[in-house]
Amino acid sequence: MSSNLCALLSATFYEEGYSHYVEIVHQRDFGKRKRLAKLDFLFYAPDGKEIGRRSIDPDHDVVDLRALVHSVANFRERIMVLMEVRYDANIFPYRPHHYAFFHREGSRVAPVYYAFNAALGGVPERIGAVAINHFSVFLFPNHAHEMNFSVIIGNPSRFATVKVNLLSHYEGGVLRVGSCRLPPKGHVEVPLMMNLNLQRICRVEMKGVGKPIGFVVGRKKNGGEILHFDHFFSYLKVQ
Amino acid sequence: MLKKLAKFFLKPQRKFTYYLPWLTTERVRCSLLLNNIESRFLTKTSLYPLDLRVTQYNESGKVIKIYQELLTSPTDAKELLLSSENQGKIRCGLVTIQGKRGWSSGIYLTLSDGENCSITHGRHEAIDHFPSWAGALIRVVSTCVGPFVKRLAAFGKDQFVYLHQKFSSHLLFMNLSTATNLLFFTLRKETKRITSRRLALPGMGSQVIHLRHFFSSAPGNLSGIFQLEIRATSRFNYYVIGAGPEEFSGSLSIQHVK
Repeated sequence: MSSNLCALLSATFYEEGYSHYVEIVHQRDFGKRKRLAKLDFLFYAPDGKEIGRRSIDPDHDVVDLRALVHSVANFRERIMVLMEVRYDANIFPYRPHHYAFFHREGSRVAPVYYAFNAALGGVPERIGAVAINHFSVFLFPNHAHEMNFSVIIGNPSRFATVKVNLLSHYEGGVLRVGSCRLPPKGHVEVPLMMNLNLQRICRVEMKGVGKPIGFVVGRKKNGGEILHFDHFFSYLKVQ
Repeated sequence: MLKKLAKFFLKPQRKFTYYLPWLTTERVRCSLLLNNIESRFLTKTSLYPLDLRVTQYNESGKVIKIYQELLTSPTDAKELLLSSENQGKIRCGLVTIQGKRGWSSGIYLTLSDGENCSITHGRHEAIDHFPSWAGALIRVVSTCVGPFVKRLAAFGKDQFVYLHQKFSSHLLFMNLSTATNLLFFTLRKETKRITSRRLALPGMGSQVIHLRHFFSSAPGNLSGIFQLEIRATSRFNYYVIGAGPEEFSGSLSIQHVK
């Protein structure tokens, strides 16, 4: 192993009842030249308590996340999954990406393919921004009203409690502000009101010091299966 | 080396373009959410009104419709339902978006069947524009010696694909060049090569690859997680399409890849 390795912390959330597969290297070549140097999975309960951790051989292609979670704990609530990797920048000049694929067991709806949320490390100028002028935005098309949307927010920080503001913008300029305080490694799902005073939601913005992890989640109105699971767009305000 | 030689002789012009795929089925409709929300966080204010030109290509790379939409402010967003002559078939293609210099926001794409919707975004990447003589030459060479040019394929990606009885992932390929693009596919499971196929995509053309049908000659039942090696003679990209037990007759999800 090289003594000059880079680090990257990525995150996602696991729910019971889903087949969930994680590609530890996206666009992995057949010869496995794209290889991580070290790979650890860490699991956290909503209150931030560590449930368990597992080191995985970086030669693996796809990890069965459900089997991995069940191997560390019998836990029925949502789990924050942190993926801590070390990698050689000569092999991954930008940073490695991790994608995943999940499907609710027995459901007739389509499975979801998505990218892990890179939280800390990797590309210093772009990930792990610590200033308040870092904005995460998600716009809602009209079709979004066919589903129930929420935001799952996690705090990957080791020591600091994070306050996150969630700003929901509605048609006609109506604004609804909510906030939550998350302990280190804590996480929460915040449901979004898709209509407020008969005005539909246009966009949601997440603001917080540090780099809270946010996924916008769309669930089927009847049954609650996840149909949409994706990151925010992150923008840096230029003063 | 090959890329450099081809670039020198064929003289493609690389133009960075914002693009997305589009996909419709009998059940699923496709729309774009045009916006420029990023400008809200920048100091440039002279962009507005911002005129966006959306060009929709079909499977064979022909322009089927051009849309002009006007955004009046940084928080303005316009939803655009993309047209398709469906007739119960799966239709797909490429959409490019052009705006004033300085426009740079992510455009969203929605697949919806009235109950379920999937949202992803487009990408800002290079599209190679070849002179017409070079395009004709590539088309002739691809037709005549196509099977032998895999070793010349200078572009490549590798993708895991998921094929189970109740759910699967398929791929929507887009040719990011104006010349014919030869794509070579090799399907592997762990270390074992299962089968291979090739596909010619016309300039700016697209195709949905239903993996179970595309590799129907593969021995045994295609089930599990596979590695798909893709090599191509020109620039390309793809989106991952998730399908449930009803495959393309049911709801679909869509996701961009890096």
